[in-house]
Amino acid sequence: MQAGELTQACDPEAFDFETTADLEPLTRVVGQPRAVEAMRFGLGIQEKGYNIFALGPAGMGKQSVMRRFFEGQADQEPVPSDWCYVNNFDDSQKPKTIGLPAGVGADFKKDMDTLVKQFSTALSAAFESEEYQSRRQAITESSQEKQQQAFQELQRRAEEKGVRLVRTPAGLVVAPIHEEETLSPEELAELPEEKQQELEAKVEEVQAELQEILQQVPGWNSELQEKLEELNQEMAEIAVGGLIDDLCKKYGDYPKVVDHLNAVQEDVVENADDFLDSNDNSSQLMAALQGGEGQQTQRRESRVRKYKVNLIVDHSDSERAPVVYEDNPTHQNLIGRIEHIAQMGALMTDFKLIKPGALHKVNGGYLLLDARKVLTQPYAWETLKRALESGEIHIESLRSRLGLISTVSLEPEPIPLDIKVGLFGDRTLYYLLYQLDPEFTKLFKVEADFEERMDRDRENQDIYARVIATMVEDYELMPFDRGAVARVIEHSARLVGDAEKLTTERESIEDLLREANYFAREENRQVVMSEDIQQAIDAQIYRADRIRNRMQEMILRDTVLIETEGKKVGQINGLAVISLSNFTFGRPHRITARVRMGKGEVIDIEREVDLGGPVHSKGVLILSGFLGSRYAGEKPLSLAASLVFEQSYSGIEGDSASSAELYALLSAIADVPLKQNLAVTGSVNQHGQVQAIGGVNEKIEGFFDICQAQGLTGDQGVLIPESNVKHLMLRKDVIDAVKAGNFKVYPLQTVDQGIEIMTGMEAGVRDEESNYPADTFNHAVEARLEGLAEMRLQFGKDDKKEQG
Amino acid sequence: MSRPEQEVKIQRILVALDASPHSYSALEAAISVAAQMQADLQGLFVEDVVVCRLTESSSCQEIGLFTASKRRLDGEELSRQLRTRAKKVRRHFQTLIDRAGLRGSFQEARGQVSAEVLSAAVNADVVFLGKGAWAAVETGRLGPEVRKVLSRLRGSAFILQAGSRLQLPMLVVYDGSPLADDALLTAASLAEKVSGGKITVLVLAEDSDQAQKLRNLAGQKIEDRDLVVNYRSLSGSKLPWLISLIQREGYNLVVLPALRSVIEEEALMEFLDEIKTPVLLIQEGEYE
Repeated sequence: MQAGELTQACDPEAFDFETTADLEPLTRVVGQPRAVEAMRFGLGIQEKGYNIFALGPAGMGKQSVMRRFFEGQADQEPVPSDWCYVNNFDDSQKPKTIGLPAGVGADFKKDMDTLVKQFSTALSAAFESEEYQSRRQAITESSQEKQQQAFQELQRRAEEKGVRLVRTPAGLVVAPIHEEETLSPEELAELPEEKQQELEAKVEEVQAELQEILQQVPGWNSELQEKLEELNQEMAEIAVGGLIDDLCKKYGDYPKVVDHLNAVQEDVVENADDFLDSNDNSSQLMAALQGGEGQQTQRRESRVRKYKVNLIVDHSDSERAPVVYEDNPTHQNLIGRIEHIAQMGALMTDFKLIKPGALHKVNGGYLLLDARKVLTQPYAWETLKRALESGEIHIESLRSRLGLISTVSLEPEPIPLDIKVGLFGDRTLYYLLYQLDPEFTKLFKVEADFEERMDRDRENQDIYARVIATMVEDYELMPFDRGAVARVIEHSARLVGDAEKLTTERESIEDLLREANYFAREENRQVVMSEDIQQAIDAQIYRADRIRNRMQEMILRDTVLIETEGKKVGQINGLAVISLSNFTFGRPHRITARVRMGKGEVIDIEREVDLGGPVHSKGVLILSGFLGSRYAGEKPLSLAASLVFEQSYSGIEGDSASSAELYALLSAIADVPLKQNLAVTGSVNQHGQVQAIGGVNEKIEGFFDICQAQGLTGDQGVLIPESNVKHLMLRKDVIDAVKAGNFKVYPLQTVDQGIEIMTGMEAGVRDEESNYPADTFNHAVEARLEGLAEMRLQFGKDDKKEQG
Repeated sequence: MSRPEQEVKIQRILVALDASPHSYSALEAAISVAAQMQADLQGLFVEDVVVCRLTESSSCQEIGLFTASKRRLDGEELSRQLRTRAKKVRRHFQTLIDRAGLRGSFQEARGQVSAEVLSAAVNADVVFLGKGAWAAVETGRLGPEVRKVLSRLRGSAFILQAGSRLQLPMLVVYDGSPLADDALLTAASLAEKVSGGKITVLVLAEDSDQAQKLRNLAGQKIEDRDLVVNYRSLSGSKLPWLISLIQREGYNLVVLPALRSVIEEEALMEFLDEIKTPVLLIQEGEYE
């Protein structure tokens, strides 16, 4: 091949700009027509389940593209509702939700905070009022007087009867008295029998009366409590009624708010007693002497807490529908959580401790999630699906869901969910989810597949230049001249291993631009030039090529045996590609073949020891097919051959070495040596056609590096499939060597072409009598196979004779 | 006998406790005063021998306060109950004084209640009494044992009924006597603790001239105190009018110099029976 065919250079002169500063930034997505169409469709369709999964390799800019689309759509949509949790006065374990137009939630919260403060003031005023105090005192005193009067009367009657009530720890005793002193049993015994009996009778009479009064006491107390409660409720209703009415008018358009306000009023009135502590302003003297102001404030705060509002979603400052990327999509971060506080040694919670999750914040908008992160967080995926499936956000702690904890918790009323979710991840994840999770297909119906490459034509090169200009602007880099842009485009083609394509993986290009900018700055340049791009590429390779260098060193030091000169029978230089992180390189492998008489099997030693992958084994089996059909169509294939990658200590996969293996095998059969100054790559089919393989650039460069290190002789080179020529984007030093005639690249279509180059012999074509001409390579192969078949036949006859 | 003009020095406070709400109110008030005056506090619980003696009769019956059921009064059980009650009172006393950071001691005695209280009161500057303490039933009046104590006590006494607390506004009765000076200065000390403390001095005088003179005298005695002082005058019939004034104007504490020569014991007891406001009775005298 000519040097000019080994790469497709980008001509800087073809651009009509000097630097990227002359170019308009590009806002549209480039090279992703399928993904863009999918996005538009996914955003446009409002049916349930049409969430979007953007799939493609990392670094494609899936997240930023999706965000750009989501934000564009969100700009046209209204700000969604605010959401609050409020106490459920019927069942505090089940807080209620209230949805309000954007901004109204904050007002409502503020109003309720004010109302709560006003409650304290209004109720304090009511309960401290003279009216209340007087009425309360009157009620209490009336009840006390009733009881006191009853006991006074009893005491008076008792004393008239010569007995007295005496208090014991648990009750009362009626004891006889004499001259105002209680009679002891001895003193009583000294009285005349008649007097004793009389006193005993009186004692019994008073006891009976006492019992009667005591039995009435609980009733009197209940009556007192009822009256006090009625009074408290009456006062509370008057005190707070006006305040609540004002708010009911203000929020008349929101029935749930009005219902809540009515419930608040009922609760305040019912529990007016709770506010009495604040009224119970224990003496100023006592307070001054004993303190306790802080405790009182705490008590007051806890008493009014249930009337406050927990505004979990506040859109008062929003101007459009929300777009949120949840970086840490745990179960709790998605659906929110219920916090607890320690109180008297127990964990307690209430509606105020409900915290929102990403689904709350983004409700009515767009949520971006990294699929891998969601799937690796315990229960996050199940939680997300459940929310999307039900169309509601149920806040449930993972601990209670798993039954790990039995502390008191809440069951907040679910909030209706209306969002569009954009997941992004690699293709493997998408296809695994598609196959293994039946719900996935129902919930993520839109597949936005990001293409890794785009066509490289004149128009796209211009667009690519604008993409580069946009990146330069986004990252505030120095302008790139057109030479630099051209070099980036060439590298982009090299990244995808195809001279006719460009990579759409933004991250690699962005990294290259930033690094080139760094080197240009180091050189005190104002513009980034192609030298800087090359330096950045070289630096990237240098940082990553330690292993490659070790391998090359082992070859050069003859630890790993690779010959680049001379000829050998049954030995050839195959080429392999090794990928480590983001660095891929090629290296030569010695492949050898040995043959002997046998039953027609070709033994792949790699497969025998489980070092060969299935595709490699398939390639080797194809060789048997090729041998049999070409050389032993009418005779048994009577050889046993073995093939091996010498000094290979790890797995071999792929069929790119099958043509090399075939050449080695044919060489061994024909006993014709192969040139060791050449290396071979390409797969082969049963008809002897050479087929395309991957990593052609790295493989050529891998052999070139070894040859160059050992000294270029001028006749060294690599045989590649012709169908790989369009993928060639070789390094400049390789191209220079080819240009100077020091290195060669041979494109092949058939095995015969390769044989001729590898052996220097004519391959040979069957004549009219179906024989290969003498002195051709194929003739030699066929003759050897025939010889082996004859030997095998003869061997079989001798064997039978011996047995007979 | 002439005496130095000074406020009643309260260094030792006795509070008589029987586990009733009345005595606990007295305890709380005693603690606040002890804290203010840096005084030592002594709690006293008396096991009433009268009650104990009742169990000696095999026919003695007790009627449950809550159940209203009749049962035989057992001596051993009663003793156990009294011991339990004493412990409960001691614990309550200790808790409150610990919380207030005060010094205090607690004494248990067995005997006739009024005699034991009076005996302990000999070493106290003021005795705090629950109005209805030791009463068999709640009548809103002084309990019989409290009445006995007050009739024989020659020192000062605080009398509080259940639920009442020491708070302003305060009324102090003043007639220019040395005992009234004590009452005025003591009242001033108590009120001064509260910022902007307000007291009303009720001057007892025969005519307006004397009233003005007494006002001036009282004013001089408390002129250096941080107080808002209001003056009222009273002539003629004293105590019944005083009760209606206290109720009408809502005083929360009354400091009354109990001039035996002026106020008859029966009238004083009647006054204390009727009044619901805490009363600090400033008395002076020698025990017989």
